[in-house]
Amino acid sequence: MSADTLVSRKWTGRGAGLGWLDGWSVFTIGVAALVSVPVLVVLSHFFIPAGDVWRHLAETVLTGYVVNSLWLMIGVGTGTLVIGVATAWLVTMCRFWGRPIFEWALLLPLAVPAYVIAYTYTGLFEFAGPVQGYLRDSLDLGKGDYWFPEIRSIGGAIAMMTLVLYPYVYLLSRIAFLEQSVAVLEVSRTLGCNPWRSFFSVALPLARPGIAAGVALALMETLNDFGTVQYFAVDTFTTGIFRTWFGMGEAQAATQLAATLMIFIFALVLIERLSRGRVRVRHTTSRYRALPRYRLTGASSAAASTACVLPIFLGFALPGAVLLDWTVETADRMIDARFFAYTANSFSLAAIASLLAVAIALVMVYGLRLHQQNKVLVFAARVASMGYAVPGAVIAVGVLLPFAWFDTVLNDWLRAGFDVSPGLVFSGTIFAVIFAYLVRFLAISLNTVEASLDKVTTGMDDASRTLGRKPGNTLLNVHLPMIYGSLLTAGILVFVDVMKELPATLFLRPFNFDTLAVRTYQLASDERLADASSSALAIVLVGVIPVVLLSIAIARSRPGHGKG
Amino acid sequence: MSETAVLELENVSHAFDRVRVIDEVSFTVAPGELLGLLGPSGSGKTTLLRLAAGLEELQEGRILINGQPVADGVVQVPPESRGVGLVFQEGALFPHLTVVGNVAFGLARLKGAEKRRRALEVLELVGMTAFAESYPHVLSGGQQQRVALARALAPSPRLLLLDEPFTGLDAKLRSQIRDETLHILKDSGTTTLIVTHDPEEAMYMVDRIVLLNDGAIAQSGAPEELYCHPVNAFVTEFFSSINRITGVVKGNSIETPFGSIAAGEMPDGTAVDVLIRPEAVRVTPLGTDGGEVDAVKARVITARRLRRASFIHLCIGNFEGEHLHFHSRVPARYLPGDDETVNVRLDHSQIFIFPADGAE
Repeated sequence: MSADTLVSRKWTGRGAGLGWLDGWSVFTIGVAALVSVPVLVVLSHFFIPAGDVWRHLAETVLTGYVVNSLWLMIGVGTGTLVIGVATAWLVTMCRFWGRPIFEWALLLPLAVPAYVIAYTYTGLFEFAGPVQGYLRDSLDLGKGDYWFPEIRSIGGAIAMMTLVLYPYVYLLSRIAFLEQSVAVLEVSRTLGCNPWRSFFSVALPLARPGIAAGVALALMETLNDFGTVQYFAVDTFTTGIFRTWFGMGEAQAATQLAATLMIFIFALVLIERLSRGRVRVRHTTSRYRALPRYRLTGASSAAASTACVLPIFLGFALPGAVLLDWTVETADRMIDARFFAYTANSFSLAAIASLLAVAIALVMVYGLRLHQQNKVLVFAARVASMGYAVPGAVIAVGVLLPFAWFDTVLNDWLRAGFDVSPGLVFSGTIFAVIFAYLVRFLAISLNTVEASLDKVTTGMDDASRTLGRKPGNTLLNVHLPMIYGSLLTAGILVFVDVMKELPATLFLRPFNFDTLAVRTYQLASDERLADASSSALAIVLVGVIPVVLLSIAIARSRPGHGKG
Repeated sequence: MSETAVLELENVSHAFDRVRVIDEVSFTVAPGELLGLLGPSGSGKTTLLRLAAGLEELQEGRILINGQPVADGVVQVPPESRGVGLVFQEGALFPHLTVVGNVAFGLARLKGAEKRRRALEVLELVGMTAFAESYPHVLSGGQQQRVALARALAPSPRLLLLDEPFTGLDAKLRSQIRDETLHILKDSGTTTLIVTHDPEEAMYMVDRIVLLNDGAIAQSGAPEELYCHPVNAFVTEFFSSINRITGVVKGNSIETPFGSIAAGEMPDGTAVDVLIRPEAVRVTPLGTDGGEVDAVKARVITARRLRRASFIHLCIGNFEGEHLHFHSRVPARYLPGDDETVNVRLDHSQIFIFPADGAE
């Protein structure tokens, strides 16, 4: 092999210029640019002069959207904070009946989308439902003789979302508690703090960044929610966007609503960053031991167990049982060829999206590695992962506008030049749906792949390169086999999120192309709650897989536990 | 020069975050030569090796392999096209491949059976055939290093680079593997650049040493040349612990507790360091070995028997009221008792005189 045939010519002499621009870095920048298109399109509408429709919206419904969104955020934020932190502290710091089971079972509600639990509880607690029916029969009451909380209200929406979103707070604060050094807590005890005081004055402040991140995630999901608020008739931005676009046909005004919602999101991200950045908590000692848990007995043990059982029961077991019951009841009617067609649609969308998300993430993360964290590429990767904070409804709007424009231009051009019109190429096709999924969920695969690739030492790269393998060949033959398991995990996480995703799918899906989530939504909207159960149950069952993976991963990664 | 150097570095400089770690370094490695790149940690030796391999992008200077430029500011040949083999300190075996799979990794040009045959042939060379189908995690550190060597040798590289290859091993295993490696490299005639911070390892392994200090070459040459004719205090001290006396040149000599020592051509009034290796400090019991001629008396603080020598801590007094703490290394038979008074003489061929630090 002669050296001069294999020379790569640098663009400039001394490495400081654009020498880092190669296939890998161009790909990374390209992905970041594409992914940022929907967000930029939506944001650009913030500066377009408002039309009459927008003025009308602003005068009539906008205040309601803002107030409802704020109430939801306050309610869900408080609810998830209390449940998440309390259960996390109990299972990490105390010993009581059932603790090892609660440790992972507390994650289960994560498998249930908010709109599914909302449909289930409505079926249970509405006037015609079994609970009120039983009360009326046994107490011999008639309509209007008694007061019962209205499930389809803002309070109901807060309860539903809290029940399925608290695991975010539980998960991150639990990790934060586990990472705390026992020594620090023991010192606080010897300095005269009782368990309660050492919790509030030491453990909680140390865990604050983790807790804040968990609450922020829960709140992002709250703002993202479409199914629950739509069904409960609690008007928020997401329902407003949907109604303005499809009901009123006002794309411009809908986009401005989306832009306003983005301001909420940015504020949220900013507050989370600030609360993390101002007090930088550094763990001063790295000594970890298996935590010496407080042993609870008698009444306190029972109270702790109840505190852990309730969220699991209300957030997973009860809705799961109800769904199962309805599914069995409606099986002959609902589990038919059409059900399997929806399942196939859901699975193929999720499979394509997760494969692409993992492949793109792998190339991007490896490109970053090749270019030793080049600042431009790091920024590009961050841009590519910001979609996770953006609600599906906003992304849908941001995808529809440019794609529709693109189709119009393409059709005009083809008709003028070749006298053919291909119809919709980008918008209203699977292409648009998949693209929206990638924008929203690329962050998940990027984070997972990055974490696992970081564990492969650079010596592996150097060894492979000096043994004559090019970067791409090295990725395929060295890194890929070594991080295969993590890629699978990343794929599953994206897969499940796609299965659950509702607003973007609803907005962007091709005509007559229904998924399990869309089918669930449509049947529930027609008040056929029991009929919706089989699709909903399928989503929940798939959703359990990552919960299991997650709990295994947590059990393994505990400092001072298992093999170093 | 009749033969083209396998590796040639010309005025190579390198900086990380604007801090210069390599400063105008030039050297060559001749065909079949074992060259040692020696220096304390942070002296830039690993960076030089990575530049030669192409793992680090060249910033200034020129690097040639077999007379062809592989990096010169315009050209930057990637590592996979340079035909160099590399063995790392930690082995860096691929955990997902068997031993034979690791060795065959660099043989992409060969077909199935031929590839395996060559891989096993190299494994035979390092005595690891029995472990061909094992995975790296079941091997000991020494076995992993043997496999790493076999993997690097398998594609018959033009140049083999070893980066502190024995550092992770315990002392006994280290000398054994070091010896095996030396024979394999000499027998196969592999041109080798070995990076190490251990002067003993360098002297054991290589034909020629390039000693680095702070990113620049302090001295280069055959090991015995660096040991016997060091050009400055850094080189002298790098190869052994040293006894140091400070003094001033007066009339072409320096007054020391051992009498006057010739100062060569240094002008009068120069502040100097007199460096004396412990093995140049001869210790004999009183009343033997030609009496008291040229000798000064010293008190033994304590003496320790090492493996091949005794190490004696001496207190030499009565010199302008100061006491000197001196170290002596003598053949292992002799071990004086604590507080014994002994005769001390110097071997003047192993005394090095340099202008004092800061006066250079």
